[in-house]
Amino acid sequence: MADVARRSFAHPDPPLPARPEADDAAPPLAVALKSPRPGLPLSAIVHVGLAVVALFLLKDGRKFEDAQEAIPVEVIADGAFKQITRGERTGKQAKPRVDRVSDETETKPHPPLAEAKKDVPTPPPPLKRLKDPGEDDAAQEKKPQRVAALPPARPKAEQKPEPKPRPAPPVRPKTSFPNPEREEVEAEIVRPKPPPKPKPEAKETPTPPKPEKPKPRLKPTEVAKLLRDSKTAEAAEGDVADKPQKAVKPKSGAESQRHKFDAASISDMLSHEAPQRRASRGREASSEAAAGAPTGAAPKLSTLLQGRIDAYTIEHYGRCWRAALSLNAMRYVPRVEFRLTRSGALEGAPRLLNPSNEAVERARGEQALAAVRRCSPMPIPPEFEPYFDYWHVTELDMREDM
Amino acid sequence: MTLFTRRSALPLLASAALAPTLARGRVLDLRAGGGFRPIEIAVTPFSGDETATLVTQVIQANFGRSVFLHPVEGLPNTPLDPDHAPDFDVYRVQGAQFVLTGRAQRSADGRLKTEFRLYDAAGGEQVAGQQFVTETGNARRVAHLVSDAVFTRLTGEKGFFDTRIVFVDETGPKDRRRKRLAIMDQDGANVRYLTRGEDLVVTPRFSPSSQDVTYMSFGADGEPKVLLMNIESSQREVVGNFPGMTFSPRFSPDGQKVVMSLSQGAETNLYTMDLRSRSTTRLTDTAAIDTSPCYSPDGSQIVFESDRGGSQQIYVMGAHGGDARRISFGGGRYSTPVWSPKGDYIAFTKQDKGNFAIGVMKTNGSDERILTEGFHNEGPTFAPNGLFLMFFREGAGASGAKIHMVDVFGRSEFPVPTPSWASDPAWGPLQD
Repeated sequence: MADVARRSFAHPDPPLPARPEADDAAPPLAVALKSPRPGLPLSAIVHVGLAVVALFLLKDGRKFEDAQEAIPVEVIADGAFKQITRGERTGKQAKPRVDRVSDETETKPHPPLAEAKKDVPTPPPPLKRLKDPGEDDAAQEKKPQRVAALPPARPKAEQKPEPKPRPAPPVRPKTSFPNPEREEVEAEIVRPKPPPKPKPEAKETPTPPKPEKPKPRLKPTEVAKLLRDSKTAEAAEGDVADKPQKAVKPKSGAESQRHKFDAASISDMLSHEAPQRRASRGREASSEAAAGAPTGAAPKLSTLLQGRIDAYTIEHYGRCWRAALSLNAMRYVPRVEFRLTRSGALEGAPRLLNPSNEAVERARGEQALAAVRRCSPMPIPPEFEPYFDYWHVTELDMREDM
Repeated sequence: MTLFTRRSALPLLASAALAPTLARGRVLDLRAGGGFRPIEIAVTPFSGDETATLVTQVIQANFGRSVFLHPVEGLPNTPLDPDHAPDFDVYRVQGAQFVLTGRAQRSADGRLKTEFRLYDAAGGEQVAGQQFVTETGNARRVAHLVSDAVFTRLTGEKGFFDTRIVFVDETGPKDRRRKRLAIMDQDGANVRYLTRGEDLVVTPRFSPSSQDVTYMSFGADGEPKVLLMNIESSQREVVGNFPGMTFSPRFSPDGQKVVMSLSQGAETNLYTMDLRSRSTTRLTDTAAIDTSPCYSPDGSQIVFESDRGGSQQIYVMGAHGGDARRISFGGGRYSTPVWSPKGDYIAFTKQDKGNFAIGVMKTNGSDERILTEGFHNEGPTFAPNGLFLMFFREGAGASGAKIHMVDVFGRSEFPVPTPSWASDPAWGPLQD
């Protein structure tokens, strides 16, 4: 042991008291290695050393800033941009972005999004059915051609002695249901718009919430509304929930100037997905800036208001939720998750979070989903609109009335 | 509730990993309110030949009496092509949640081919579809099978439409009543008489297999005999002569035994008899009147009526006898208890201050609920799915009784049509 100690101090380090257990690899630490088990103190020394080093090395790190609204980049085609900035000959004077008082100014800068019009499906009545998510792919492929008749129920074996007609195994449900009328309508509309998400838009075009409808202005407003709704459909947190209608207008011209254009990558984006672009985030950000709130935080949601929103939701959907059909179903509590658009329409299909394989419980789960569908859309009172983030996603525990 | 094992932790970890990416919403408690409302179903006219019209009508009538489903009214009268999905908007506007389409057609070999498709009107997807082949004369039966399939798919419960009722048909003046054993479909169709009416017959009971019926017959000498009849062949055999028997025996769930009450003097006690060996075993031995026994669906217990406590009440005991515990405690006299095929409820007749009521209670006697009251209601019998009861009612001043049907929640009641007066219904099992 002593040999070891002497050897380790052979090189020119500051002289330290000899320690029999000194570690060759860490002579400077020998001072701490008094105990026969060097592990703990060694570890402590190293940790403290690292902490000190880090303290001094990192002290000029920037402190975190308040969360900022992401500046959205709306990418549009050159030609479209020119049209936007060109403005309209007969239009009224475009008001500055900050001024959000009058509503009719909202519509002005948008006329040229004419191609969006094509993408907006005028409400085709048969299109309204809600698709379940899994069905969308099938719906996709069937669109162009007229699928023949629903494949006839597989003629299963009959067999059986006379008095007992034997039920055949259930016909496998087909994924697509060719309704001739519906197909034609979809065919012409769908081509520019492959994504299966059009449900919310389709529903909302006929009912834009804002009343202003200067004749040619109609489309832009609807487009704006589509943009807004589709954006909120995809946006998660962080989105400002300011008055969306007012936000439409101010975003307009000034905002577009801030956009980057990458001509190479925009073309397909615009042509196919304009109605669903996330880009409209910019509107919110700019509207917030216009309002002078530097950090763009949403208006405060008080507990009282939360309670009111919850009560309103419960009362609304409770109307469609019925007592159990049988005694077994009472123990099972279906939990349904669903999302709403800003106008209170269903976004996508409601989802059962706790499905059951048992027959009665499965039926009960279906009734729960049907109840949510039946009571949709839910009208949104104006005072709830800013708190879209709070009521965007809801889970309902559908219980018995005990 | 679940053991915290590595396996059970995996979904927890997985969901934790996913959590930041899923925007979860707030969770609200929703209580079912506004009372009960049935599921609205649009029964579209089946396409095909004239049997399609009959099948459609039978299905619509079935659903109209099902309480849990309600057929949407005011639908267009033209049959739909069942190979194509219907235009759901038409039916959604009428409030339908499900749409039923189908076809019934005789095929070239003279058999009847029937198929149906059931759609969810909100999503438009098919949720059920089946096909049946049978003899042409069986159109009503196929309609019942379709009704059962749809009922089961929508409620998760077993159906009850493809069942038959055995009952006592009564004709003639009250003092010279002619009573015949009869069988019919649960909707009153296809009535067939099983006896000729020379002997008085009472209290028929179905066997679990639905092929046999026991009943009591009083011959000219007035002595009751217990008979066992095969429905298809109408062949009968005498199970035994049982002087003093007032109620017909009931089958055990396995069909091997019957349980009955026999009177000796002032006492009436319960006995079981093995149908093969004909050996009898005495179950109760009290100085009271123990009668009207009924097995539980698992065969482990027997519910019966007894006045051992001083008044007619309902008791439950093990199937091999032994201690019996009272489960009826409301005011009044309880009788004719029957055990639900689902095992959860016991139905009974209750007499209180001159009123007769049919009710149900849980098997421990709690949650008693009266389903119907009137001048004279008696003799409940459960549907095989445990959701409905039939009983017979004689209105005040009427010359006879009629059969009625009610659901176990007491929401709705329907008369069951019979050719004449009818009593003592016994609801048979689902035919396969």
